[in-house]
Amino acid sequence: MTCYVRPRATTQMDETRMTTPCSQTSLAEAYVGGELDDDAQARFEEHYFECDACFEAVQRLQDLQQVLAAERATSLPAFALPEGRASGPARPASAPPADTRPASVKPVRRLPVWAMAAAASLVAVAAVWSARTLLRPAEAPAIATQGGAGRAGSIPGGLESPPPPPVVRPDPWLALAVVTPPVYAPLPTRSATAATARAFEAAMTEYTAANYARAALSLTDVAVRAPDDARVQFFLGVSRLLAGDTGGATAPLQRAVALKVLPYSDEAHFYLAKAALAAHDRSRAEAELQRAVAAGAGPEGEAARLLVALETLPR
Amino acid sequence: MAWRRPYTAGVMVHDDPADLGPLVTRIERGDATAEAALLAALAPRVRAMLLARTRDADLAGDLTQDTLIAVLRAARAGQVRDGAAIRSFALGVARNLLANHRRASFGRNAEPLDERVVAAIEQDEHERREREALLRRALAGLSETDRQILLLTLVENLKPAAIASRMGVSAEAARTRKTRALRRVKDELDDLLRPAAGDHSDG
Repeated sequence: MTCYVRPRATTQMDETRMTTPCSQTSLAEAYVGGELDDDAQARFEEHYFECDACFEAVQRLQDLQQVLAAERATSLPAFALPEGRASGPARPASAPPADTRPASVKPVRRLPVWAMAAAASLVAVAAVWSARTLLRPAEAPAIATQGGAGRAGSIPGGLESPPPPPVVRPDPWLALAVVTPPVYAPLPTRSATAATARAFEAAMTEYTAANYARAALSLTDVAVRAPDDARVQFFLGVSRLLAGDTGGATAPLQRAVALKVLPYSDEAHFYLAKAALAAHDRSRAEAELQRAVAAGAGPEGEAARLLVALETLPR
Repeated sequence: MAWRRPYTAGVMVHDDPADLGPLVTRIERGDATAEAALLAALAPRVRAMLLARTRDADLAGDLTQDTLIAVLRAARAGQVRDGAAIRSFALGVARNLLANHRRASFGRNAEPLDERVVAAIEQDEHERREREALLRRALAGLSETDRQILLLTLVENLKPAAIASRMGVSAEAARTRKTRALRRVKDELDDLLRPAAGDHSDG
């Protein structure tokens, strides 16, 4: 091995020690990206716990992840506010920039008793969540009825979603791409850390208030903290779609599919189709709509109607 | 604690002892300074490992605290058989705690906090903010395309083929540009740090 490994013999503080290149540093990217298998991951960890060069590479890539994710989050509102909400920046210019970094280590992690009691009460009163029924998309407007976005449906005892943005688009492709927001109802989860869960709920408050760009901004941050949470990825994709960032919607929706957590993995196909329609990508839209039809995803019958409507568009 | 530079030009400088074994011995004898030095040396690696495995900054932070507390207790109690292998010991503890966390139905057992652990983690957090500030400056030197490629790679976790289709270039070109962008970030960091290379001093 060519890497620098700390000498075991010396006990001196060595401030000027230099690392030399290590042949295993190239593994850092795959490691940080979660692409190594279990054995390779464990071996590389044992290695970089002793190798300065490889540890630095890991640390730098993780730092880059955080910085880029934060920059992406703060850059969204400038271009992604939905129509009717684009009159100003998402945040007052005088306001301090939001700390979009994933939450840092919190040395004092205990909740005060009153907060724990409040949290327990909230969990106790939360509705038992049936994933398939509560992810029910609202009734969609008829295809290509420009400006005819219908009122979103509501869930008995649950949250009522806001009306979809009344988007008027002369482009027939974009008429098919009109998105009605799927209804969100809160789901208490045990796995999410308290801070992540709170951040998600805050983001979804913006979502239910139809502040999709702000929801996307916040969910981007949450997704960095919890990249394997299908629900976060799904609503991040949908929020970006509703905020007009169709390009940015695809990756989280694909991630929601890849995570194979129902109903998000199925429903994501319908919204991937919407993103493809917005991009005038016929083959991708058809493929995703066919998957949506097979999975019964999207508002009742809409995927099938969109497939038929797509056929009417000039090739 | 000695002042530490976030990165150095091309290499990293550590002020932790090259061999942590003597620190373990001193901790067993009740040396509080050695405890602080050991925790400062272990915290960044433990957190990096937990962040890579959980991809959850909050959880990684909590489990880092638990790991450091467990390591400190073991060292105080003389339960670390090979002090020179304390890094491997800490890695093993972190893995066990992570596995326990994943098995547990209702989260982790919260350990009482230790002020030295808190201090080590705050120091690590402070250094991370410094590094990120430098990185932001380094990223400013990149083209928008290169930043996009890094974003798609590191944040969106897209493969070169997917990046290629999104950006309208070949997969090979995307791969090359990604490598070049990462190299550029490192070079920019080196440039940023070079003027300060001569005035490094302990605080």
